This record gives sequence, structure tokens and C-alpha cells, in this order.
Amino acid sequence: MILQFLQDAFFAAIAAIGFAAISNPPKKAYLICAIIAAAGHSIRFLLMQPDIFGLHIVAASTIAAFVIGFLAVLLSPFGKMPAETCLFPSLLPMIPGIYAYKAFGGLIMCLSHSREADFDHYFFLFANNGLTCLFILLGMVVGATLPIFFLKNISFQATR
Amino acid sequence: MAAVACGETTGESHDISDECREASASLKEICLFLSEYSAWLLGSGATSIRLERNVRRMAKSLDCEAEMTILPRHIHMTVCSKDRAESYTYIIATHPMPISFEINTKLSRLSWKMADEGLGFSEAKTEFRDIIRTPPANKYLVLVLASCANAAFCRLFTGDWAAVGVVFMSTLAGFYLKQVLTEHKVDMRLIFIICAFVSSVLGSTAGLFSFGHTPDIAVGTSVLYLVPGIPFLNSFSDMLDGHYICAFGRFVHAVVLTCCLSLGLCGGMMMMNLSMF
Amino acid sequence: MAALNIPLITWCVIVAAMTVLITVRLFKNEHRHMQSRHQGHLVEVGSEREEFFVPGDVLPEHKKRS
Repeated sequence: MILQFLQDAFFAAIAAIGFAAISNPPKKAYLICAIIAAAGHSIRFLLMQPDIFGLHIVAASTIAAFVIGFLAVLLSPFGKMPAETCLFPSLLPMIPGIYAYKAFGGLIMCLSHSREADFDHYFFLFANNGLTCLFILLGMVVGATLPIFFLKNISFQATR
Repeated sequence: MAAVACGETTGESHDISDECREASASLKEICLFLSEYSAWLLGSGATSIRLERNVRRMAKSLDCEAEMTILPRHIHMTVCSKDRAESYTYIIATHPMPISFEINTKLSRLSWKMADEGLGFSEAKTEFRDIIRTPPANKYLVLVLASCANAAFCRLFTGDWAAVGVVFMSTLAGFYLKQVLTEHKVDMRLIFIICAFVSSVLGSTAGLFSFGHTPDIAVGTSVLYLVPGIPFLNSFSDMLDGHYICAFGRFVHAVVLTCCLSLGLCGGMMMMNLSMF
Repeated sequence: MAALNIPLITWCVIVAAMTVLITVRLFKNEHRHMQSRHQGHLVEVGSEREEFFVPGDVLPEHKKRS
């Protein structure tokens, strides 16, 4: 269990560094993003384990994003960076990409089936994946921006 | 630029009309500078709230007030003097560029330098010119890091090592193709369709030659490097700040890109006789 | 053999296309580098003198000088 937890943190850190690299962050940000993302993603993993907390993915993502936001606001002044520079790349490993493209896949399948039962099935898949994706994103952004508002003084003066 | 220097050293000898002329000239320059600054800041992927704060801070340090409308592709900026006697308005299109948090960070730092350290207008302009020339990160490094990231992602979704290897290779190929096509200025949406198609076809290698136990995870994660995460996050962040038009614009942009990615993936899966569900 | 193995064909086409793309790009890069260094080509037809050069032969530029 602990091994799984650590593995999750490790791979989340690699994923955060790689996905952060696509959006050209300053060099100091790579390390901070990796640490924050590892913490956040492993917390989500822990919260979603059925035998520990067993939370739904939306709630788990929101809480994990809150932790990420908190850490990002506290750590970003070290690199003299705005909070988003650390925050958004660290959130990238939690973006529900699979839900997003499955929603559109469902929509395409929906259009190619005209029988009511098939259509209903694929429309259900479209709506289910799409709504989950939207609410994970909303939850993540709400969770991650709350600390910025709580700690307004730190977060908007980080680049000072 | 000269007008600002004059404005600071205005002595008793200047007559009123002369002073007014100088003030309006500098107001124009300030407005043009702030518009260009915001076009770059928004292009580099900043949120609307950051843009507003930075611009207001800079305007305050230059002894004037700035107010703006942020539209999905344009910024409408008005700068007026403290007493509202004069104003200047400019509309600028946002700068089309890849997301760069490095430029975003440096531009935010520039705004604080003007507010705290009293950096003058002409120095700020020179520094701005330097900042926007910041080169992007080494593209081969980005290519390898993105491939590692996607492979790590596959592992997070409980793929086995065979799947991880396949995802690494398919991301390497797909991302390289994306860089090449971006260099040739191909339309973004077309790039997404083509790259998703190539990556998903290569991602199904494990299923085609039946090695490993999780070929479906390999196909599913091979296109995740294309998901427009930052536009999605920016859009929701703008929505929370009440910039609904900008939020909607960014959201539609992200959805369109996701749609293209999904189209490419569906095409790839159809050719490989796989089904998504 | 009833239907052509479409997945395999697609896979092969994509892999071939990617390989060609990468090779062509690498070759072009190499070419540009070579040109910037010494105006030469990666593959070129040599003269008879270059082909049958034996150490000790008088080189054309030496001949001119003497």
C-alpha cells in the first residue's frame, strides 16, 4: 500500500515535469512543480482508495487541488514566481483527459447509432463522462484558487 | 520616450499648453505600451485577474489609470490621467504564441519592478523588449520530457511496462510530428487530429502484436499529451473571477481542441479495429 | 485472407511515414550543417584524382604553387 502510494507520487512528479515543460515554465519551477504535483496526486490516490476514504473522484480532486494550491502559494515566493506558474503545471497530471475524450467519443458513437437503445446507451456515456470531466475541472480550479484568495498577500506579491 | 523625461522635469518655465501637449503624448505612449504588454501577457497564458492587476499596478506607477475589456482575441485598453482630463484608447489583438509561463513570470516581475523599485518608463520598455525575446525551452528536451511524462501517466493508470514503452514511443512520434507541423504553421485543429491519429495507431502496437497485458490502457493514454489542460484551467479560473466572456472563449477553444483530439483518436481506433468503450 | 489486415497495413503505413519524416528531417539538418561548415554535400561524385589518390602524390594546389 505504502509502496503504491510512493509509486503514485513518483510517477505523478515525472508527469508534472513533462507536462510543465510543454508550457515553458522558468527553470526553477520544474522542481517545485514536481514536488507539489507528487503531493497532490498521491493525496488524491489515497482519498480515492475504497478501503481508506473511498471518495468520489470529484471530491478527491477538489481536496487534492486545495492542497496543491496551498503548497503552490507557499512555495512560489521562493522562486519569485506568480502562484499560477507553479500551480497550473502541477494540476496538469490531474486533468481528466480520458473523461474528456471519452465524452466526445460517446457523442460520435451516439450520432452513428440510430436505434433508440444504442443511442441512449452512448448518450449516457457522453453525458456521464462529460459531466464528470466538467465537475472535476470545476472542483480542481475552485480548490486550487481558494488558497490564493485566503493568502492574497503572499500570492499576488510573490514576484516582488 | 523623450516626452516622459520632459514630464518629470517640468519646471516653472514651461507654459500650460506645452505641459498639456507633453502629458497627452506620454499618455498615448503609456497606452500603447500597456496594450502591447497585455497582448503578450494574455498570449503567454495568464489569467484575466493577473492581467488586470498587473496593468493597474503599472498604470498607477506611471501616474494614470487604466481600465480594460478583455475579449477572447482582443484587448480594449483605455488609459486616462488621474483627473480624467485626458484619455487614450487602443484596441489590440492578443499575441498568438505558445503558452509560456516563463514570459508570464518575467512580465509579472516587471510590473512589480515598476511599482516598487520605481523603474522608469523607458527602462521598462527596454526590459519588455528583452523579455519578449525569451527563447522557448530546447525543443528536443521538451520532446523527451513530454514522452516520459506520458509514459509515467500510463503507469499511473496501472499500465504494465510493455504499455509504458509503447506509450513512450507513440508520444515521441506524435509530439515530434506536432512540433514539425507547428513549425510549418499548419492549423492547430488539423495538427490535433493528425497527431491524435498517429499516436493512437502507434499506441495500439501492443494490442496488434499482442504483448503485455494492458494494451487498452496504452491506446487510451497515448494521446493524453494533447489534452489542452492550461486553457481548461484558465477558462475555469476566469469564470470564478467573473470574466465570463473570456472564460467562455477559452472554454470553447479548449473544447474544440479536445473534439479534434477525440476525432483523431476515434479514426485511429476505427482503423485498428478497436472500440473506445 | 478473407479481408486485408487493415490494422496491420495502417500501422505499417504510419510507421513508414514517421520513419521517412524523421530521416528526411535529420538528413536536411545534417545537410544544413555541412553547408554552413564547408560548402560540401553528404554524397558527391569524386574526381579521378581523388579516387586513386596514393599518399605521396602531388596535389593540384601544390602543383600550382611550385
